[in-house]
Amino acid sequence: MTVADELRRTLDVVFRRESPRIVAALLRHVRDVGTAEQCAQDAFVAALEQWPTTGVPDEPGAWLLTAARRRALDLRRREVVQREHAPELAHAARQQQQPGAGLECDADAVGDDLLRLMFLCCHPVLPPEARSALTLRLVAGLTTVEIARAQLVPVTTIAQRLVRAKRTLAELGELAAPDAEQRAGRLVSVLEVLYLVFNEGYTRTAGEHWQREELCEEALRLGRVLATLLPLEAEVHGLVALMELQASRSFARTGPAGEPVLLDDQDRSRWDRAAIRRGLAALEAAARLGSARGPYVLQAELAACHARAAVPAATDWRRIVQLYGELLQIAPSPIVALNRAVAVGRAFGPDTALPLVDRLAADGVLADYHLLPSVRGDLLEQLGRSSEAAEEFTRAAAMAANQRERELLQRRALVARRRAGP
Amino acid sequence: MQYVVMHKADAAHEAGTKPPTEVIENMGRLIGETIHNGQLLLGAGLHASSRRLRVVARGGRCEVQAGPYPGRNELPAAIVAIRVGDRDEAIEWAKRYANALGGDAEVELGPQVEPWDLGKMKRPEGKVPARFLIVQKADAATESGKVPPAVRKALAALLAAMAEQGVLEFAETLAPSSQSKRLLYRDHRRTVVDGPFAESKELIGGFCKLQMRSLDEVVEWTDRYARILGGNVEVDLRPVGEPIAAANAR
Repeated sequence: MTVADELRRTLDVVFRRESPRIVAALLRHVRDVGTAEQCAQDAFVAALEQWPTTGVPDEPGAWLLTAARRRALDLRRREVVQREHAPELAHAARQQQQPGAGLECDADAVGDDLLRLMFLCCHPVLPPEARSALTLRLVAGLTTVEIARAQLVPVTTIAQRLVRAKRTLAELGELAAPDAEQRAGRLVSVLEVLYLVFNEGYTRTAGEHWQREELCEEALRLGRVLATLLPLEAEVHGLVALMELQASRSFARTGPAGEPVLLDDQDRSRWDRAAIRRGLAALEAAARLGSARGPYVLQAELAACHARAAVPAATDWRRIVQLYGELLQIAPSPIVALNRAVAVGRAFGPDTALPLVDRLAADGVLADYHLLPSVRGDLLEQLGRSSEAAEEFTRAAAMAANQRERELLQRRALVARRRAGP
Repeated sequence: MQYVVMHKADAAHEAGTKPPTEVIENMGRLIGETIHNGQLLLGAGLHASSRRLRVVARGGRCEVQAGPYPGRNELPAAIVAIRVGDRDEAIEWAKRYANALGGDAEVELGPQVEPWDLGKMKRPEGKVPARFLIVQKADAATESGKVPPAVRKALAALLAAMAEQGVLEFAETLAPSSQSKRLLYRDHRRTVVDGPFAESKELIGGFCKLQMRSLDEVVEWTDRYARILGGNVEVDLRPVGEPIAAANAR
């Protein structure tokens, strides 16, 4: 490998690592994220030109940040000149001349900038798919091509989404971090985006692939970053715990042919103990804060019930019923009610659970949800009503969008039909 | 992408010398940044070999050899961390582990470096659980990716037992060394050697598991790591393998 290649690779790595922080810091100087991103790119180009002769600086991140800031200040000065605002120009020039300007590396300021960038990328004014694309681009530092590949969307679509999102934000003109009052609501949106990205990686609702690690890993990484930035927010720790605990089962949840393996059938020695440990630690961090349990903390608690059980029989189903009950109170949802019914079945028997599922079926809100007939089939089978169970599994299979899941349900239908006899 | 970055012990480490304050501080800063970036998944260090043991199983008999010892076959195939009451209990688990590997096998057992060993915090009062690493040495089976099903099953059962008794902290399987890279730093100059590594005589000093997007990123991180340590160190970069119980099941 030539020296130039080597340098280019170092620069790529450094830029990837530093670009989110640079873009975040530049929001102090420019009016919109698009310009901030452009200035960061310009700094990268400058490094590409200068580093071959000067060598890689000792603090490459600080070098890039300074170069990007100079560029941002240049742009602003030009704008100011155009509008003939001399005092502002003088101020901008003074700032630039200060020795070491742009080299200060206040950890708190970096954190605040990054947080503001996250809040901005997850702004409620943007459609959800734009929020996740923008977060992956600007906060995680993924390229457009990488985002497209991970989200299984054409590159041009992602590029358009990004352009439109940046334009929307520029028109909005709101660069300030949300104030204390807005923050709770905006944090919900940030957590939603991270969990959405995670789930996009964890389960595809359609298509062949059951999971794509890259998105899971990025969502987890950003969650951990957010937890260091907002250590007093229990729900952030809750989300990290939830993602870690779910990810801990990655290896166990698919069989040799890529087919899904249900929780009870998973080989628990394949669970990632280190991830479980991180998850449980995050959950403890949330509990220590002593606030009321929010939806992510509760979901993480639920996942923890499984993680703590070395064998399926050791699962504390009564606790799971209680946690789902709590979750239903703060976030009523028919899917949560269905999950609670499953837990009731495990804790108190299928005959107790079936009426709950029947009630949900009668409500009709889950009419398109394949897991409703799947759960009902499972309960019926336990009650020895195999032919009814087979019908439910067949119905569920027809509704499942994921091919692997469909195959699993078809197999269950077959088994139930066999058991029912001719 | 998850990588295990494993550094080798040097003479100072073997002599039990505490690193200079500056090194501890700079390392703390690098690790802090890595945590802040959400990239550090795991980290553990081992003490000098004088505090370690080798557990060697040969034909159904298990022999425990106490350190200090020079390195010989030091290429790990898996690392299992346990939390137990005392050293004797750790030795029992290590023996069970060696036996689970069947016939001829070797594992290394050593206490983990705790924060109070580095002067980062006071040792907690009362009885502190003893944390050990069991390092499974690579052999022809792990290196070729063909672990016999019986061994896989025995290991899975052992890990399940560890989990059930609350002893298991984590278990990491490493991909065969043919997929790994060895970075040799001499006076800050890096040489990269591609696996497989037939000869691995340097004792393991410790490791961390990182989540990074590319091998380049891991190498750049390791460059910084080596710079802090003075530019003379050997580091292996090992991709994470399938979890132990299922290693090479496919």
